[in-house]
Amino acid sequence: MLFNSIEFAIFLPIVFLLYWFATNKNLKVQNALIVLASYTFYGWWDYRFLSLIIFSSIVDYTIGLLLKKTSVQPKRKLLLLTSIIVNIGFLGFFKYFNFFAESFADAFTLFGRHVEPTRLNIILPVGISFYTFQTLSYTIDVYKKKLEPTKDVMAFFAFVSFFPQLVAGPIERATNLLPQFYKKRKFDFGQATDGMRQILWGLFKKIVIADNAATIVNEIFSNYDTLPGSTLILGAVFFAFQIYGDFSGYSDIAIGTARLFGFNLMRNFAFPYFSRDIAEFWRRWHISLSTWFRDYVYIPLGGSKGSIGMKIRNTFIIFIVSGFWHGANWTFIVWGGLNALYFLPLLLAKRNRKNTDNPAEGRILPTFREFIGILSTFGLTVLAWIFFRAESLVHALDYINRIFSASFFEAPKSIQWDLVPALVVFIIVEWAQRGKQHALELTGVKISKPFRWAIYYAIIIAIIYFRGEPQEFIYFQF
Amino acid sequence: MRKFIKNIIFFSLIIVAYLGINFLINLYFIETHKDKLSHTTIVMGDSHAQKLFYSKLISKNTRNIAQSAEPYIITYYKLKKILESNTIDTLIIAFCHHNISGFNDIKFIDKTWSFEMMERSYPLTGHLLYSNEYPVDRIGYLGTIIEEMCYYPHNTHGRYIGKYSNWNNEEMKKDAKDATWRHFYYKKKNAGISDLSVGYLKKMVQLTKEHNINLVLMTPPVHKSYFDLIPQNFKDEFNKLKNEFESQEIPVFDDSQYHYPDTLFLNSDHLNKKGSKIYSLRVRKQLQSIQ
Repeated sequence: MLFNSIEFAIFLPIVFLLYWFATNKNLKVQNALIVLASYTFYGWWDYRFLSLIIFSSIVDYTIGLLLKKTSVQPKRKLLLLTSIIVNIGFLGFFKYFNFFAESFADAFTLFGRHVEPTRLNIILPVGISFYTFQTLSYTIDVYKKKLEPTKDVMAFFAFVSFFPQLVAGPIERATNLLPQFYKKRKFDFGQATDGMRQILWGLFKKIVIADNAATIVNEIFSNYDTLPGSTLILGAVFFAFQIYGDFSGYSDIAIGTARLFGFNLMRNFAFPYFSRDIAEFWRRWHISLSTWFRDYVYIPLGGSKGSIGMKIRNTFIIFIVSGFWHGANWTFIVWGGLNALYFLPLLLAKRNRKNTDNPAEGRILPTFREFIGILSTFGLTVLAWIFFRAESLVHALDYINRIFSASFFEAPKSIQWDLVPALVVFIIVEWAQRGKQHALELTGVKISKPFRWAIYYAIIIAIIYFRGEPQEFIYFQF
Repeated sequence: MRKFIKNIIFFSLIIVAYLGINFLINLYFIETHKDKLSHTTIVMGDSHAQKLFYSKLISKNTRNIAQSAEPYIITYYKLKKILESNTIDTLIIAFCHHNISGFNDIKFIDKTWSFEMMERSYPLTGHLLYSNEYPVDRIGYLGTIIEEMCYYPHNTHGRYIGKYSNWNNEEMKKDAKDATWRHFYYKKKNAGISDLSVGYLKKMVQLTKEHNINLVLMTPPVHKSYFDLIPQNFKDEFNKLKNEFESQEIPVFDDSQYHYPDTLFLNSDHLNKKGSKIYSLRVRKQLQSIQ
């Protein structure tokens, strides 16, 4: 079920009413409702893959309990390894099997031997990269004794399958989300209304910004060989807005929806395109994934401690693994590697934690230095996005090659400029609200109710009138 | 909680009122809309009619309003709508083996077709949302109707009036297997005969009788590679219906096996532009023969 579908518009109020009026007296029944609703939400897409979520939940729930029972370290390690093998095994099988089979075959071809790879004709279960990481975080935290394993099976199943964030995150930590299923939730008017605002802004980002940008981007990336460099650079810039509107829009809807049910999910985006350097960008972009890799991969590897060689190795590992997480294609690996290259100079010069405050804190406009930082960071990000969007490395390299050709100075073609005013308004609103949790957060702002509602209606009307051709959420494919 | 729900209801009421008013305005536009055709011979059907009947070559009074992938249910309601404001003398309907295939029954369910069908025909088939007349993805259809009818008032509803469209190609697309799989199989099984499609065809026959319209059923040529792959049950039912219509003195011109060279085919089941011109001249003669 998609957030921007009529099905979800019917589903959400029904679940909301059942949750707060029919099941609110009994926590276990309320959690059972969440599980049922989540399985319905997921099964709407393909009920067959529900078995994967259920199996993964059973495995990690059982391993959690077994980890508590034993203090023998080799046995505990074996249990952890079992969880990792099961979860990463599913992910590897469904997502990476064909990639590895083809890559091995290509490698053999290099040595002059032709091998026909065995390919699996399987579809990727939606959200598998997200929920496997979420359940893994539980087992790892229990193993590290940071978290008590739960005996409450319904709470655990609800934690794994919680529908607002099941298919595209934020990837929740067991330490943050699981305890919220143990205690009775109380309806909070302020939290719910702010959740609704966040949903509304998420829908605007997805339907107006991302879907409209997608039409332009698809056209440009498909016909890049006939278009001038100036158009290609604009195509990459529009893609930057498409992927941001799409993914952060989804996160906003997910977080807002969870708040309607009394849950607080972690923040996933913090206005990343206002970052003044790449390190700041990675603290603001897909935060739940970056921090997951930081906590479960980067730090165990030694993080930024140790020799320069270790630092370089760890940085490349984390960025390349992160790229590979996005998809089984060399383009994602290069995208990750490129970001590692951007990040390394800052790390080695110990300037990676220079910009930890909000840009232009206490000011309306950034300083010239900040502005240049924001612009250059955005430029580097856009360049890397070309690899992310391209079908293959050849496609990406050819695309970049054509940007930096004489046609760069030609007038752009095939651009629908009508999106530009919406983008300008979007950037202004996001800039003005950059210190908030989301762009429509109104805490601390005194606005009369009629004016507030007028803003909401204006956004709804903008969604209706300026909606783009419906596109699936990009991160569903990951 | 009470305050939240009260606010949501009140907030939504304004939206519902806005959508409702737009719906009523659009409904008025649809109800009062008339499709003025100013032609006396009309060609209807799916891509087989759309691509093959070059109306100008058939006669100056002929107009082709066929659309690709159109199932008989849409053709039937389209005909009804047209008859509200036009007097038709002759109606040509493309009558092919795949038109009576069960694959037509999924046109309002399967996402490959459904959104296009709904978007095109909601002014004619909107009632399917609440009736059991035809299998329909109701949620999808509700979405289409909200989008088309409730967002803003406009007077351009539906896109069900088609026109002749074809092009020339260098080489025929040899896709007989794909085309027959698409037309006669669903989920790897024989799609079976669509009683619904046969029913709408018979309803159209009845409607033309009631309006004193000369009905002509025409089966345009397909490539031998395609014809040979049509499962036997469709050929049998087609022949049965053909005999039934002929016994009612409805002319049926079955050219499904009429030979044309490969150079005149666009793909295995459609002639190309050049082929359609030649075929249209043949249709012209066939029509003259019955007048």
